[in-house]
Amino acid sequence: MSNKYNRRNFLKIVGAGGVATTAALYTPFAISGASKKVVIIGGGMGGATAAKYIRMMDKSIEVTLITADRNYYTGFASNEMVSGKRHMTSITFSYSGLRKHGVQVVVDIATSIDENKRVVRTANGKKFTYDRLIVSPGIDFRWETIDGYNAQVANTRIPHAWITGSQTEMLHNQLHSMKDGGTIIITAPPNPFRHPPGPYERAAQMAHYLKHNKPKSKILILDSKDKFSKLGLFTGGWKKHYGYGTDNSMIEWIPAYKGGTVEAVDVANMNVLGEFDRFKGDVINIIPAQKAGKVAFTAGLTNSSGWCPVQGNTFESTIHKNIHVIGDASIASPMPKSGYAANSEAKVCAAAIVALLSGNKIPDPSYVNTCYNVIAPGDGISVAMMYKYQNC
Amino acid sequence: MAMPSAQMLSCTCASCHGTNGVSNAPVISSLTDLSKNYLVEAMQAYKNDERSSTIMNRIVKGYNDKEFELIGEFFSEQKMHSIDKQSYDNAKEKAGKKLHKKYYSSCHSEGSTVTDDEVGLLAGNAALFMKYSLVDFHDGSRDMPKKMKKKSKKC
Repeated sequence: MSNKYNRRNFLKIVGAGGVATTAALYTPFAISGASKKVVIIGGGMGGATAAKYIRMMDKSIEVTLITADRNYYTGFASNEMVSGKRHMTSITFSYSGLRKHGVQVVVDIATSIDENKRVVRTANGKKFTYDRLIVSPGIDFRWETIDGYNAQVANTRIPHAWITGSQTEMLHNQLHSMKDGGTIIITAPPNPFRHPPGPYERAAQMAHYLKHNKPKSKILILDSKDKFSKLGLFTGGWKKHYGYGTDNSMIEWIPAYKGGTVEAVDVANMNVLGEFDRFKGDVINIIPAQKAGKVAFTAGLTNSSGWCPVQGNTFESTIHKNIHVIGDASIASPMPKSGYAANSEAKVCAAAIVALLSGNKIPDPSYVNTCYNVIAPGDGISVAMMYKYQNC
Repeated sequence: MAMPSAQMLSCTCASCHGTNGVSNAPVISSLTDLSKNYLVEAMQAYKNDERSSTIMNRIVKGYNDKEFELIGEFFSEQKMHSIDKQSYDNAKEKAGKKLHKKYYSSCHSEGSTVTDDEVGLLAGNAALFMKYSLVDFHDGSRDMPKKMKKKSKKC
């Protein structure tokens, strides 16, 4: 393991402008005799962790988790599924553990939120009332940023594979059925996006497969940025294992200033159009620009950035009271949009909600993020960072 | 200055070490039932880069002494827990038991189910975790106490 990335800061998690509100503004919620209800939208890393921790901290709170799928497929290790080092079953999880904690798990899609009546409505026509709502919807895509790309193309020919599931398997299959000597194109999105090191780890995982199976093939990363997460560690790893920087490199990275920003895709001819050049791929993986998950927009929880502003110690929305947004959809910078960060945010949010529902003081948070990437079997890189909250 | 509670701090540990310090991963130790001083000293050793790790030496630099105390206290109060059933080789188990009895049982006593400020808990950990720990001791990337070094030379 390389440990070079040693940066660790004590950062307030939200800039001064975002956290003007203090605990004083809260009025403790108390209806005598009434049960306390928390509804959670989203059964990913954020939603599932929050559900478990609220139940662990206070068994008197009823927790309902609304999730779109009966299983959850982790983003963690999904790039190893693409390369074939791992099978989908090893990253598939059910909700049985949460049910054991007394969480009511509902497989459905939340379609609207009435923040005044505190009601969530679903696609199956169900209604759930809440005292506190957690929205953890993950990401959605800005399809409009790449001409010719849309959900249908992603599902049938050119996957994004950025929400683990059938597209991850599709990309795996395309990689494995490609002829030797083929070109794989990965387009990397602009910041901020889910799993910042992901596109570059994916390139390493694919290169590992190609090196041992289709050594004449190439991977082209077309980037809409000039730098990326763990750049030094990744390029070091690519050099060590995949000849990066030489004429025989399996991986070529084209940053924005060299025309890496992709503007359009020609699906029929398997071409992508950069600022200066047209690139032909045998396998194309477009990872589009991102925004908060759909229900965050429907419920008006987003600002002009397309993400949800929240208070740094509770993750309560600064737009709607009694609604908390955690995980990728929230603006929690400098924490990254990672599953590990979502897990950490969920615990802080759970503790805050338990305190708010009992009229107690909001606890001081502590946050952590770590991330590992496997460059080749037996060789990985990592980041680790603690975060503190400062109200200012 | 904000001071997160012991429980809040423990949540940041739980992300890798498991809920309430009960590890779910074969390469990560459980934190339950260790003595407070043992835990605090381990964190200090990581902070001073006296004990090697993948990321612990970076993580602990984000905590101060008071927080180490709170974390140590919290996990020392969590009860011992064995990881789920693991498969093992009967012959190896037998041989290992003998070696443990001969060389290590004076410190790691009662099958290493008891612990104090000096001695960690070995029982209940994953075999793979134990193996990696021993490899770290063996190749010098983790320092052994004098007595352990002496015994290990003989072993």
